[in-house]
Amino acid sequence: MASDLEKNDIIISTKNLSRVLDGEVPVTLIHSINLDIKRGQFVTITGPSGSGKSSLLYILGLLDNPTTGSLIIDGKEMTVLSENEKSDIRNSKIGFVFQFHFLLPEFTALENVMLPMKRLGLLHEAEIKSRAKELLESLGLKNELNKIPKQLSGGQSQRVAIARALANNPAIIFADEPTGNLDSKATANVIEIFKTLAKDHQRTIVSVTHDNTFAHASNYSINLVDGTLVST
Amino acid sequence: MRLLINIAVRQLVFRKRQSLVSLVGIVLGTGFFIAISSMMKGSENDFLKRLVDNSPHITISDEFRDPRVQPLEAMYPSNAAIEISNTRPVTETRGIRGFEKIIDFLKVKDPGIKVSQVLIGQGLVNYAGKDSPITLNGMIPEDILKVTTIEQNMVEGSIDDLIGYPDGIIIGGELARTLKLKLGNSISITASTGTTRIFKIVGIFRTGRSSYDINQSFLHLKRVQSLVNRPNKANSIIIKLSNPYNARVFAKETEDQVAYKNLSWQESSEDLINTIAIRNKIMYTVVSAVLIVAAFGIYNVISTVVMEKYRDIAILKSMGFYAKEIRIIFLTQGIMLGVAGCMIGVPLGIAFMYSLMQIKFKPPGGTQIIQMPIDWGITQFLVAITFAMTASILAAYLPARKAGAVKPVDILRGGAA
Repeated sequence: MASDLEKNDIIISTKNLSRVLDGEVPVTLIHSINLDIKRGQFVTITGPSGSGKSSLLYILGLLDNPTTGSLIIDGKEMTVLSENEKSDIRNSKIGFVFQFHFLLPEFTALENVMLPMKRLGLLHEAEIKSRAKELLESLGLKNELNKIPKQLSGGQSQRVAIARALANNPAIIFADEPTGNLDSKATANVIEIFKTLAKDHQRTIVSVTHDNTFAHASNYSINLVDGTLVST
Repeated sequence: MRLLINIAVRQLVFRKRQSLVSLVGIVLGTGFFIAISSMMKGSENDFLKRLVDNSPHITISDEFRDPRVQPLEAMYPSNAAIEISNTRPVTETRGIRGFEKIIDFLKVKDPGIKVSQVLIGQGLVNYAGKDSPITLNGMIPEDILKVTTIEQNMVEGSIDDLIGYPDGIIIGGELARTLKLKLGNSISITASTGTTRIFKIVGIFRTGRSSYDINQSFLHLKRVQSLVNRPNKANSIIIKLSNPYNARVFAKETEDQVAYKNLSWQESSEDLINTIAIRNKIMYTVVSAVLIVAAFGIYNVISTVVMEKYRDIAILKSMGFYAKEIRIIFLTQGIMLGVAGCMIGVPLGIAFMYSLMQIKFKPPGGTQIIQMPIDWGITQFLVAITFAMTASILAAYLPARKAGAVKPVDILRGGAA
């Protein structure tokens, strides 16, 4: 085994990651998680309700802060960064897909996908537009570009949300129950997209799910029980 | 920044109804504020103007504030060893002594001053067998134009006719009505000395105050002096100052100099001025209430929008928007609502003011048609705009700060769409 090469290929690494909710009776959401995720892997986090899988996902996605422990993404320690620095990383390196599409209702599908790119501000308006178009077309939404979220079906909305997550070409995509609200056909579609992204485009995908089909389709599953890692 | 403004505009336009409601709140608040304050300010100005213009700013009369005491009394005050009983005040000759000197002194003190000597006498009008008491204001006719506003209240004839006709008289409309007098009629006036002279009516005025309109008349100074048999005398000096609001101080200073009683308009109508002060307090209370209600409307709408937008705020944050950028989005909305509100509200206020100006009415039992007095000063517009903008920004700032502090996890994890 060429261990050096493999080590360089680790994109997410945690050490003793814990999250405790303050209060009169402190609640431990996750406890001492140690894991390494390699680039280009499609990983699912599974476990019963309340096992802390979403908590773990949000901490990995820099939307929440761990109480103790270390989180290294792409070789950098994240726990020492300021809120704004974390915002910048979310903007450029991370994409999110949620159970509900959370598209902005005032904007068309195309504009929703353009938003993160405009926020990043690296490309010109025209380039942003053509990239957003390409992304949506590659997800089979050629005819839905100028529709507002209200006019889209659940599956279509979720694909727009995936396109939006991919907008800034992020290294990692975090997904929270992305198929929880979809029928089996749309679910299969999303699974297919995630598989292709990981295999052909070297994107790392970390997704929380309790859908067995979805979990089986991934490279491997991380199983959480009561905030503790059970098996990988 | 352009992106943030774009998002702010989109949200406003997308939520047409709510944006419109808050806009209407600001528009009405601004419009009503301008209309009400212009009306209140206008009526205050009108009231003061009537008070200031229709009465002399200062009247110097041939009286003393305190009767002058006998020299003997001054020498032996009442608590001295000798007490003299039954002393009377010094008998003063009637009329202001050396009024020409006083007038010269006043002209030096305030170069913009308008001043005139007056001999006021009492008489009786006799016409067609009827008698009516009358106050005779003997003045130099040119001075009447300078120190009184009678010219503006002339309904027939003019002061100019008096200038050219020394045996003319200007009387009030009420007197003309009760005695059935017309312009050009001759009336005989008997003074308290018993002298009678015939005068021709060259002008009729109407001020709206019936006691004034029935009682007062204006004549040549020389004629009154001969009627009351006091040649070369004046018993009052009427003063119009360049700044009427100086009258109180000015009167105090000249009284110290000339010893005669100086009565400022503030002193003679103190009760009315107190009423105005109370009225102003009431007006500002009412207008502030209107604006506070409007401001609360803005706060209410924007804070509701922010609450409804929690999900979008969370998603924008997850995309990497800073808390500051989220605050800017909602603050921009408040500012835009404020600016738009002022841009519609100010013209609306002006429209209100115009329509108020069109109202003309006769007060019950009155004889004159009056108009709503409207003040067109710039101050109230500035106050309205400043208040509307401050209210919009403040009303948006509080919810915006809350929006900036939204934790995406709390919203996104719940997942409820």
